[in-house]
Order: sequence, then C-alpha cells, then structure tokens
Amino acid sequence: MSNIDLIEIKKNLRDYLIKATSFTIEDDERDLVKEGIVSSLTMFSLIDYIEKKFKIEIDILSLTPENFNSIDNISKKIIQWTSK
Amino acid sequence: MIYLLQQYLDEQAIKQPHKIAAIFNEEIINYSDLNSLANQIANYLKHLDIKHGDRVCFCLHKSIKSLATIFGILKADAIYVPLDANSPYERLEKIVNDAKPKIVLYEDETEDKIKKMTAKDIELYSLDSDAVNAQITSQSNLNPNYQSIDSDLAYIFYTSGSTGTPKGVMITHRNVIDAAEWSVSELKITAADKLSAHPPFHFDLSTFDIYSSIKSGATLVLIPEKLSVFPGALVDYIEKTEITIWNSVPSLLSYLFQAGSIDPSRLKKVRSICFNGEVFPVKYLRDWMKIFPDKEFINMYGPTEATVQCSFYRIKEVPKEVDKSVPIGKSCANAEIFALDADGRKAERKSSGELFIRGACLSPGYWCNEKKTREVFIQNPFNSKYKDIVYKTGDLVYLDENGNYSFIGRKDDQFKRMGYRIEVGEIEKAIYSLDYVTETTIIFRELNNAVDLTAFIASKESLSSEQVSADLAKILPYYMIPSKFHFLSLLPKTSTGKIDRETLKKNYE
Repeated sequence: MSNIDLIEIKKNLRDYLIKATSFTIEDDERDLVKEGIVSSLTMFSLIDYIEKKFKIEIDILSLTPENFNSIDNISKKIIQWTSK
Repeated sequence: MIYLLQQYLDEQAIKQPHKIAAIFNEEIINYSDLNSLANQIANYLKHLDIKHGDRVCFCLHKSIKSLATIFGILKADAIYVPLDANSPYERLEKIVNDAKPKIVLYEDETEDKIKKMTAKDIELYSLDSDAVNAQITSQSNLNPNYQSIDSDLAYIFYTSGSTGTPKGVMITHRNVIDAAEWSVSELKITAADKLSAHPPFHFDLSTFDIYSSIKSGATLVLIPEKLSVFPGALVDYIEKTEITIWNSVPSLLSYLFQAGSIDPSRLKKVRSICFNGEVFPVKYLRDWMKIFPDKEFINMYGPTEATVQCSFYRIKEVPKEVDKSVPIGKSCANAEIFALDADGRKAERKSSGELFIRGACLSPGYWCNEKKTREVFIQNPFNSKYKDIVYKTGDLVYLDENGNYSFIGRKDDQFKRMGYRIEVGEIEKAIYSLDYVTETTIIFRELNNAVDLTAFIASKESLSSEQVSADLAKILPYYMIPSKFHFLSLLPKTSTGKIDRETLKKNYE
C-alpha cells in the first residue's frame, strides 16, 4: 500500500463523504469539522471506512483538529499510515 | 441586589478584577477586561442607536469576543438573539425576519451567510472589521446606566417549529437569575471552580454555563467547537484547563467513552458531570460511573421554555435494565413539575402522564406568536382563582415509587437529535419545498444512541439520496437531514386520506 496515489485517496474520500454526509467537497482544504460536515456521529463511520479501505488501524485519540480536518490533511495522514 | 444578568459581571469586575473570567484555547481574559470590553460593545451599540428592548442578533462562533458581545448587548438594555453560525442561511433569514433585530453582528467566517440576507431595515456590522473595532475601542469602558428591569427579556432562543418556521422562546433576566441561583447553590459552585462551556451560545444549555460561572466568579472554559469531534484532543483540553464542572449533552460523553478516551488517571480535577438535553444511554453511564466512582453525576432536564433545567437527579446507581433511562428526578427550586394522565388527573406514583411545568423558570411565551403561546402556556387546570400559567411540555413521563420522574418519549412528533429539539413538521416542510417533491413524510426511530430519520418521498422524477440530501443541506442544518431516503411514486394513505405512516414503517423496517 506504500505507493497509493494521493489523487486516488482524495477521490475515495470525496466519494465516501458525499454518500455519508451528502456534502460535495470541491475544495480539498475545506474544514470539514468546523463546517459540521464531519460530526462526532459521523467520525466513527469515517474512520471505519478508512481502516477498511486502506487496511490500516487508526488510533482515534491521536487525531486532532489540525491533522484530520480536511481532505488534504486526512489524505496526508493516510499516506503516512500506509507507508509505515 | 442583582436584578439584571449583566450585574453579575459588573460585580465580579469590582470584587476580583484580575481573576480569570474566561479561557478559550490559548486566550484568557480577566473579569476587569471582560467587563471593559462588554461595556465598550454596549456603548458602541448605543452609539448605533440601539435602545431598550431592541433585538440584536449575532452570528458568531464561540469565542471570548462572542461572550463579551452577549454581555455588551445586555448592557445596552437590548435583547440578544444568537444565530447558529453553522445553520444554512435560509433558516437564519427566517429567524431574522421573525425577531426583527435592528442590528446583526457577524464575523468573517459568517459573512457570506449574513450578507445574503434580504431583510429590510437591518444594519449589518462585522466584528472582524477594522473600522468597527476602532469604533468599539474608542468607546468608554465604564458601565452604562441600565434602564432594563428584571422582567424584561434577556434573550430569545429559536427552536424548531412545526409550521416550518423556528419559534422564538423569550427568556427574561429574572428567569435566568432564578436558574443560576439554583445551580450555584445546588452544585456549590464557587470562585475556585472552572466550568465548561461546551454547547454553542444559541443552545439553552449555555445559560447554565455562562451565568452560573459569572455569578460565582468562577472561570468559564469555552470548549472550541471542533474539539467535540476529536476525543483525544478534547480530553487533553479538559485536563489542561483544569475544568471542575462539566456540562454537555450525554451523547458527547458516550462518544468519548466509545473512542476509548477516558481512563481513571485522567480528568482528575473534574468533580461534577452534568448532562442535559437528551436521554443518557444507561450502558455508557454505567461505564463512566465505574471509571470515576468519586465524581458526582447529575442528570438534568428542561425544555428551552423552562429556561434551562427545571428538574434534576443525582445519580447514585444506574438502572439495571439497559432499556431503562436515568430518571430526570424532581423539581429544581425555581420550578414545579407534575404529570397529568389522559383524564387530566395528576399522575400517581408508578403511573405515567404528560409533564407540565410551572414556576419562576417559565418563559413568558413565544416571540410574536400569541397563538402558539396560548396553545402550550395554559392556565393551571387546578387553579381557577387567579392567573397561574403552566407549560404543557408534550413529554411523556413515568412517576416512580420514590417520586422521581423518568422521560418516556415525545407525545407528538418532536424528537431530539444531537441535542437539538426537532419537529418532524419542519423537516417535512423543507422537503416539500423542493420542487420535484409531491408528497413526503418522515419516520424517526431511536436506535442505540442516535435518532434514525427516514424520509419517504413521492416524486414524478427519478431521484437519488445524494441529490435530495444535497438540496436539503442548503436549507436545513445538518442535524435535521434524514439519514435514509425511500422514493415512491405515491405514498400509501389511510381511510381518512392521511399518509399511512404505519404501513410505511412496517414495510421498510
């Protein structure tokens, strides 16, 4: 999974978010948490999706509003986790 | 003698000017500075011709500035009407059209929504504008003279309304003073305490946090909105700021537990955990109490119409049955609660009925909505001698053998989702407003800790869930958007011509 393509990850996240939250995210830097797109109710399902899709385990307690708030940041994290 | 909410702040600014009044992230402000800033905002509003009884709306995220704005509006003898910064503009516009404020205050982040408003005779001012800030800082920082009296309105909070238009619940200074008297004395809140401010300022739970804290000269710790999604970061923040009294909707506590973010070595300074706004699932409460046996857990209950809490229950033990809920307990000092059975008699112990509330906690009614006010704020059926108003909650409760009430459910079609009270009618109206919808109905079910909302929609066009929910996101806040959609060419009807919800429920469960 180390060579996973950033563009592909972003596309997956966008596709997932429109299904789960009904928001179309065009701007990868848009703050999903601040705007209420990802709430505490949807956070678990987002993590669950990422874990299954990219075959990784995520420690939810390590996530912060700075490192997990936009498609850009979440993709970077996924790259970091998958390249371990 | 305190008779206005802003006098709590005036008093602390004299008694302990250098004590920290509020914390928000890395930012702190002492009582003297908070009072000075609130005074400057008040004097600026007066300079803008705000007068006694005028409404001032604000669409601001939670911050020290928005806290000062609340007190600034009160100190200008005006009524504050908070607008949810995360709501779509259409809903905000409905509120503004109803509240008819003279002024709407906003910030850079909410500018797009506010600037779209077409309402007439309303002036818009950005608290992020250099010009506005220069005007504010040039004002006197001394307390203005107050013209308000304790029966004047302090704020109007908008809740979901069945007609599709949110209802404005009017709350007076006296309502809040009585609520704060109760909470400060019952929880023994002192200047040494640090209270969490988790709910946003447009939500009635914020009344407990803000006024109990300022009244007792404690420190109010504003919880950054986005932290609720990050359990690890939230627990770090609670520890770092040394919060002693936590107050939030229980779903947040369930979330923290599910995320594995609490352990016995953490949250050492927290002494009381209060929850309010929805039913706490017994399963998670049991886990919390096991991990923190030395902390006080209090369940509070109260609709916005009763200011904030009107009943409470100190939890000694968790019910054994998982499907039972934690009692909402007995009346607070500023309220009296009772249940009436289907025949209008007071419910006896071990029986159920609809909950009614009377006392100092009661709102004078809905803003500019005499009809709705008269429907639910009614004459006490047991008193024909003088005016004695009781509020008909629509909540069904059970009175147990010890005299404690427990919440059973809503009598009509209101429910709570993510702590917000929602009426099905408002969502249905919004769906009906989409031009491709011919018929719709909403069915809601409580599943585990969440409310599952399903929309049934009849349309001549072929629709997708994505399309409908994206269209709804433009007119409804996220917590009102259904999680599932079923599309049909026609909805089934009962013999009276009403949409047959029972058939829909059966066929789609």
